[in-house]
Amino acid sequence: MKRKNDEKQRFEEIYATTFPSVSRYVFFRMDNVEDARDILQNVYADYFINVIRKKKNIENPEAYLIRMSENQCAAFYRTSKRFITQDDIEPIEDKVVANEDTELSAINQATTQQIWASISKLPLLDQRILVARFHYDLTFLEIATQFDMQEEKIKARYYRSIKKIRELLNL
Amino acid sequence: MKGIQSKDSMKSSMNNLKQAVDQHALNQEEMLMTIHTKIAKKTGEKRLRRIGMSALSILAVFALGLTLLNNGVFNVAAKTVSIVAIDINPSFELSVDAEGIVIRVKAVNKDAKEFDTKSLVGLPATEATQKILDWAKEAGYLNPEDLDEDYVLVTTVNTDDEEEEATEELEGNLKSMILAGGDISDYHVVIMKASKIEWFESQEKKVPLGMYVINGMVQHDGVWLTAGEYFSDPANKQNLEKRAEIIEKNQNKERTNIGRFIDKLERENEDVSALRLRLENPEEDLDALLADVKELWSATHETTDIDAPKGKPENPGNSKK
Repeated sequence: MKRKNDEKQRFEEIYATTFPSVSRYVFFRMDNVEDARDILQNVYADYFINVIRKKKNIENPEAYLIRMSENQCAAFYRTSKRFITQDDIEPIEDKVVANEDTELSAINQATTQQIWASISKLPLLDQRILVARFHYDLTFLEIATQFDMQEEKIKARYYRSIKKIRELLNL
Repeated sequence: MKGIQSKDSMKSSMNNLKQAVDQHALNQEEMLMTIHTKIAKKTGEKRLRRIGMSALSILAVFALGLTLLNNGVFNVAAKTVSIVAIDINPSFELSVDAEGIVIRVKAVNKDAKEFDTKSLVGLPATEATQKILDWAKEAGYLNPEDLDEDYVLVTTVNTDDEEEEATEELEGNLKSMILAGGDISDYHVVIMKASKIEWFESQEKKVPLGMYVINGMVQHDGVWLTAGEYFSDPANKQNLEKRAEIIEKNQNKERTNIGRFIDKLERENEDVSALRLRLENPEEDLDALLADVKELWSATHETTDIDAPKGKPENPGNSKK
């Protein structure tokens, strides 16, 4: 029992320190949030079973976890059809000005679940932009670099997404 | 004022959005719980797979063990080292282990299949042989009280080179049993040895082993001789003595039986004085006397079945009377 608790504690320590960087690494290599979530779960579960439980001594857990993630992402795309962003196909709408109380109140009054449900209805690329922006606190330029897109296009998609979320919440 | 409110509202809505994304996209705490569940599932699956593999391995070992056991690998006593072929018509083959115990019985021809041979398994081969003779007598295949000569062929084969002694001991025991007398002394018993090759060939040709051996010693045109036909020629009998031991029917019993037929012929007003004189002569060749009595009997009893043909080629041996 003590051994199990020790293993759990050790794992959670490593998880807490490595998750931000590992999750970010996975997030930007996957085409959608759900797949990234699956990969991360598998990576950490495998790390627990194959490293923690077997008492392997890993010098740099973060690097090891990122290597594991890399392999899992590669394996995922070997077996799955990759979503390719065809940015030019979709018309880029004008920058959304979210300065009206009536429109913003919908987001203010909605629960996080309702907001997430609306986000889930957006195109995958837009979901990823929102996650990059809100979860990883990246600037538009950083997001553009990560996705290999123009900054303006990222901005446009971002504001369009906010507008769409408001619309969805007002329905 | 309105601008400040809008700015606050904007900030608040962005915070809400951030909160929603943080909580639902890749939430660290929520994911940790999911990861623990996944770990439990994965280790459970691994354990289950391991248990499954172990169970499969145990089953495989068990199945292998059973197979080996059935093949007698673990049980030296259950290994066939000798074959005892008993040809009376019916014909049987006993598979005998190194201890002289019957471990399998094969009914070689159609007549033999009428008998339930299961009770012979586990008996000493000598006892099983005696039982078969008793059954054959009860079923009418052997009749010491007629003029027909009944021959019982007992052929042994050693099937395991390392256990030749066990087969020799078995032959000795069978011979002792026959010489000990009893009902078996009512018949001529031929004890022969056959090689494994002869045994295999007899199986291939679907001919009882004893019949195969004696037929191999005569020239014939593809027609299998029955024991009676074979022994009706004294030359064949003489020839067989080179490789077999022929234990003749008890002379006194044979003499009594011949006397019974002479009496019967006399009652039918046949002149049997010469035959009676020969019967009383202790030096008389009983085979020759029997042949003459049979000739006279056949002449006067054409409708009797005393000399009815014996078994067919595929059903060789003594015929049911």
